Amino acid sequence: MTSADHRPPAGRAVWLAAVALLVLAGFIVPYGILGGSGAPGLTLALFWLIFGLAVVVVIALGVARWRD
Amino acid sequence: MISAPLVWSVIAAFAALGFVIAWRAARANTGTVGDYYLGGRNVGGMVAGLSYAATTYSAFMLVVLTGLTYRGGIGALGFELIYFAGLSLLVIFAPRFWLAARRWGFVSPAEMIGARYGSRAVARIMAAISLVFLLPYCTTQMAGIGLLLSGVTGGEISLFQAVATGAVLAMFWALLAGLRSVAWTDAALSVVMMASGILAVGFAISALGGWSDFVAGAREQTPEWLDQPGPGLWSLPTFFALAFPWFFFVLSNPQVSQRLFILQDFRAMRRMILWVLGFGLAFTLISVIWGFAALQLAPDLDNTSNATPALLSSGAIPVWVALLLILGILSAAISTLDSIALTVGAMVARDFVRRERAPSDARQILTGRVMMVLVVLFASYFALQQAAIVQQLAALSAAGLLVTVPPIIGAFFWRRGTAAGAATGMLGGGAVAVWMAIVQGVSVFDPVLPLTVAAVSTAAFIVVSLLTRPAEAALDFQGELRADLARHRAW
Repeated sequence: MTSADHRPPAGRAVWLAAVALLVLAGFIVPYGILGGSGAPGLTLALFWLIFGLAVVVVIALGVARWRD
Repeated sequence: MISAPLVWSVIAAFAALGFVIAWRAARANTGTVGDYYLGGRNVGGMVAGLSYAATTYSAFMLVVLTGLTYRGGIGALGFELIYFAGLSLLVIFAPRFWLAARRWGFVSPAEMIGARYGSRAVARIMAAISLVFLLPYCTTQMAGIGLLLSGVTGGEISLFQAVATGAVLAMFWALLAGLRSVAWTDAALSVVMMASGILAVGFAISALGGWSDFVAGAREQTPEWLDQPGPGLWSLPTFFALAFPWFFFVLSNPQVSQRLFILQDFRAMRRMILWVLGFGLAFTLISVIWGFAALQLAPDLDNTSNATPALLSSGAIPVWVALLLILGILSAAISTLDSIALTVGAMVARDFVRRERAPSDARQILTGRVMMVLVVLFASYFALQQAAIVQQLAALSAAGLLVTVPPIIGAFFWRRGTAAGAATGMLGGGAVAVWMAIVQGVSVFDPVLPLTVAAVSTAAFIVVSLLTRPAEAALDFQGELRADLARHRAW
């Protein structure tokens, strides 16, 4: 293998940025956008459900390229 | 209340099933250290994933998280999902842990980090930090078993009887065949946890008149609980204080990071992660919905950590479902407890005891077994004593274990990291954590605590590393693993 073959596959920076944005959203959305109204109905519950599913998708994308 | 003989009979059936699984696992063991502590490094993705999930998702979920939901509402779901997002660290670190463990034959995470920095002292310090913060965490699992069994039987089952039951089960399953029996029983226990949780939530919602009535009840009776900060618990500082250290759980807790050593190949690693994701999201939702159901079916509790026992004995849940959920929570506690005992045993056998004193595999396994017994006895004793210092250290465990994160990240991404830097960061950060929480009384709900611990341990690691030189015996993980990472197409 040459040193060029040893480079990690592309996309790591984009993926890390997506994770960072997702985690940031976990703080900003409930406290800065949706929360604090006193009675938000199911909006926040729905947000957290989507957040959880987004975590699954992001991680699944991260491991999808692995090869034995 | 549920009658004690009924509870004892289902626990006996459950124990018998567990013993059969553990016994069969023991027959597959070959007697080597790698086999005993890591299942021969040949565990498949599904068993590893369910074992990882059962180890991670402890009695905390259906006792503490449910209580936090009861007390503070939807913020509990957010807190747990920030932890869940921390599983993303596996994408970067799982391949590195696995490749390093394969190449150099590491058995414990502390051994791996010590070898990277070329220092046995670093391995010992990391193992000692894990011991200090994980042993009290074991105590809380034992206490959870005690509170649950005595709570649902109205005290008919004493705290001592409940703790002794948990101790016997955890000890036997860990001692018999090491990782293989722990993993196999964990996988079975995770099924019990999930099935019982789904059934219990289904019956609770049914008792409230169905999903629509449950949701309408939550919106009308406890609208504040659907908001953040909500009724008071989940202020932004508290949310951050709890979520921040838990985000790094997959790296900081050796009982889960050691699971990365047991996998047979990359395909198994991917499957393991996907199983953990599926289980984790579903079990988190179950625990939080259970808490909201408790708010309606067992309102006005003074002690919110009694939400689960109160709901189980409220009459809304059929006895057979309640019994199944009791087994589910017992499973969650025991699977966490025996995994921690096994990992602590491995760390003591590999990192503390001099190789000259335990040169053979048999001696290292014996050392680990003795340690496992001591861990379970420690947890049992202090669960019965309810010692304040142990409870404080248990609450501090997530923030305290944070000090191991900088040297772990540095091991794979910073060649200038040195043994002196790693040791100073862990010792300095650990001392600050104990001083702030125990001496100064800073609450684990105060973000100043985890932020200070993280800042001190990181700064000490970086500054001291820059002032010292890497040891000659230090391994170059970055350089040595680069080709393998590229070959497996891992970032």
